[in-house]
Amino acid sequence: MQSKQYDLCQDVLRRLDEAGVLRGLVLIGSWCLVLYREYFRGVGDPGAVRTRDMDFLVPSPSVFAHKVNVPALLKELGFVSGFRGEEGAMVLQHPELLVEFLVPERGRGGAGVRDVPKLGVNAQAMRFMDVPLMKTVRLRFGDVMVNAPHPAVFVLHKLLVVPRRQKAEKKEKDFASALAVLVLLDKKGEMAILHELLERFPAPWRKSVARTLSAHGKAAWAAAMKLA
Amino acid sequence: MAIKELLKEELGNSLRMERDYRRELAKLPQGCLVKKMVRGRAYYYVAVREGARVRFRYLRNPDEKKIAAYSEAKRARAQYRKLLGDVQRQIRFLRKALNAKQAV
Repeated sequence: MQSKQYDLCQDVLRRLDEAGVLRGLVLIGSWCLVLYREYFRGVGDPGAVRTRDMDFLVPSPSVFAHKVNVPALLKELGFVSGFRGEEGAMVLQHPELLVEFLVPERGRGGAGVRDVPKLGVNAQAMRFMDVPLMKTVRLRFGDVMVNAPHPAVFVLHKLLVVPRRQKAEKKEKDFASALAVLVLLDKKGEMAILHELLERFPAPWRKSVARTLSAHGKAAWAAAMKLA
Repeated sequence: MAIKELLKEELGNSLRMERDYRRELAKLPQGCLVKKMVRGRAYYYVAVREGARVRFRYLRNPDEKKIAAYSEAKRARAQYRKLLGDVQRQIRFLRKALNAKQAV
């Protein structure tokens, strides 16, 4: 039996798809693990420690053909708009899901909140958000096709942000999900994709990934990723 | 405690959500539109609860748009009240979990 949360997530994706905006968004965060079940079918299960947060990355520049009022679109499902943090990042709230939008940070001090007028929302600008866009895949979520970062990109992005996480539990969660996907990538014989992506990383980022793996006692994986 | 921090964050999210559902409920037009047929003619009233009483306020010739707005408000009110109830259950659960004595 599927959960209420899963069904609501599917409803949100279906509405965004029908409105023609889903193609221009990339689903990131823990909900990707649900999509990766299909990607790794027959190889293994990446697990699904999901939170209520459902994050969409808006590539910059965005590619939406027309204006869509996303808060109004989701209002019919019972979502209400709220704002979080001092900067007032918009969050569309439902007891089962919190939908947020993110954009890549541009330049130093470019953090904060940016308006996305084509969607009628604002989005939080964050560092390293260009990484999930390095290689994306389209995967099925129920009856909808969704853009997600390639699992190799997911692993590298998580390993990059782990040391920057303030809260220990988030560090643990991010590292655990990165490792679970990394193991499946290896089983599927896709480490070459990871190597190719790592070659495009600046040297400090590669070092940071290697350090994170070593700090968690997984130096062998750093060697497998040709980082050692 | 790692889990405690996550629960605190979730509690913060739920409290914000409770406030926002209350705000949305307050924004909806008060009362429920009632149609009464008298000698073949339709008359519209807005039924509003005032304490123990329900008052009927006559609404002269409402247009289709106004009737639709009341109908939409009725649907939204029922939906928000249900979701507000869900959030309040979550808040009670999270507060209980945070106040629970730590297992040995």
